[in-house]
Amino acid sequence: MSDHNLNEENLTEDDIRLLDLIDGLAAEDGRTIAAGDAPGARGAEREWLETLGLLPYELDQAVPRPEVKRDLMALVQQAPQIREISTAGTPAEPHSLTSRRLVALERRARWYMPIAATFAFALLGVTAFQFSQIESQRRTIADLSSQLERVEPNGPELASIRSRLDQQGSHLKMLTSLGAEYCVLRPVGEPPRFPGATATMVISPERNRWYLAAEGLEPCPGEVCYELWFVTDGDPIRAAAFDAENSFSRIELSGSHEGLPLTVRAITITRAPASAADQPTETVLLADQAMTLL
Amino acid sequence: MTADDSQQARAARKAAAEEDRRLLAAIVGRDPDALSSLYDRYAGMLQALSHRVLHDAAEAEEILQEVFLQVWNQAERYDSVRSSVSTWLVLITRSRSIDRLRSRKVAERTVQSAESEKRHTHTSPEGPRDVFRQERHRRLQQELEKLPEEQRQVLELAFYSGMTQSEIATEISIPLGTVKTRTLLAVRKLRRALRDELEELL
Repeated sequence: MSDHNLNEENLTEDDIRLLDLIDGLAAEDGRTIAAGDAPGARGAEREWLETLGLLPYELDQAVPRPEVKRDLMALVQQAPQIREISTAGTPAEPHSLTSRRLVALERRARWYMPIAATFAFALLGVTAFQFSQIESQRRTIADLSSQLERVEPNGPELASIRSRLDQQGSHLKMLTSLGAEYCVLRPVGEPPRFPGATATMVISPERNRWYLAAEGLEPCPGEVCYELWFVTDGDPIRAAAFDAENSFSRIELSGSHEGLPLTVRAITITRAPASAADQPTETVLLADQAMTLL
Repeated sequence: MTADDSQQARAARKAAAEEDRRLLAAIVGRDPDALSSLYDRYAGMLQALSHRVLHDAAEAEEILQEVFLQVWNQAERYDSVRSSVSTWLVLITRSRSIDRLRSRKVAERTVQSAESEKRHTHTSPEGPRDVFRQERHRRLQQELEKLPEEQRQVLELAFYSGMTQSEIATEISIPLGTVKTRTLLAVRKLRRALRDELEELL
């Protein structure tokens, strides 16, 4: 075959199959590449595919940083139930927490499907949040570990970085624990004071630790601060007071509370003078009415 | 290479392919140690592939993690009739890397810089560690060097830049038929030259 004389009539079926295969390689893992029906066609396709699969061996091998594997294995070992859901069009795989629940719901009764669908979307949202949070924690831990390698032994930064590492490790553990409770706090008020703000709360299965990630809250002026409240059947519990500091970016808080009641009616964030009041003030900014049990 | 060497190389390739399948079966059974072993076997090559596509070390590392997370989550989707474990990993990595490349919308820039970055800097000074991979690395380099430059170019644009044949024709301003001819010639030559490598994978 010369370099310039090919036209469509010259192509054999084998040629066409190979060219289609190369153009179709973008199909995620070769599963959807069309094969001829004849066993021989399938064998030829396999041979072409393996030839292409050898190409990267020409490259000089990279040396992945040890942190890449360490973080991967931490993710796998600490969160076997977490499934990546960001790949568009990927069917839910059998081990997925979400898909298992969906299958179970479907088996119970068809007429529950609309309810199941709503539930599934809620779970999917939470799982996506969970995954993004884990990724964020993982990155922070990697950054801190890298800083740790650079600081002076016994220097003043060392204790601070170790403390932050412990904290991030604790967050990661909570995010990946089965039975953690999640809820999303949304803006309230007509109109909402911070329409773009959101926050997500995670409570540990033992109900003695919590973690909050909030975004879109503006810095507080003067003596004012934000307050986080658990509204229960009894007295409301003031869990934390915090400021958004100097930016609208992400805020992460965590805390502990022994014996948080099972009947948390709502979780709210208010803005009030820093007075350590025992009741939420009038300005409720973000709220969630019920916990979502995973 | 003597007949004995050739026999040993073949046995090593066969054993490696079998070990890959065993590891994947263990991963389906949720064995993290198997994932760790599979990672050790392929991470260097897959990160080099991703880096070759993306020309960005940090993104290549992210892709590497995503690939092995996908393997952990979807090992049961591997179809041994379709491909070897090694090719499956290569296709997942390539696909994810090209998706990332497209999302960055820098395909044109990458094509221009591909020539200058063919041998990227984030590589092992020692080269591949085990003998059989070292041999495979050497063979591939050797066989690709033998291809005429224009055939190698279309193959690289298709494989590493994810371009279709029509896109390649536009990119390098040659007729589509010529792209097809060059591609066919290149892959056929490689298939012939690598027949012994392929035998153990099929």
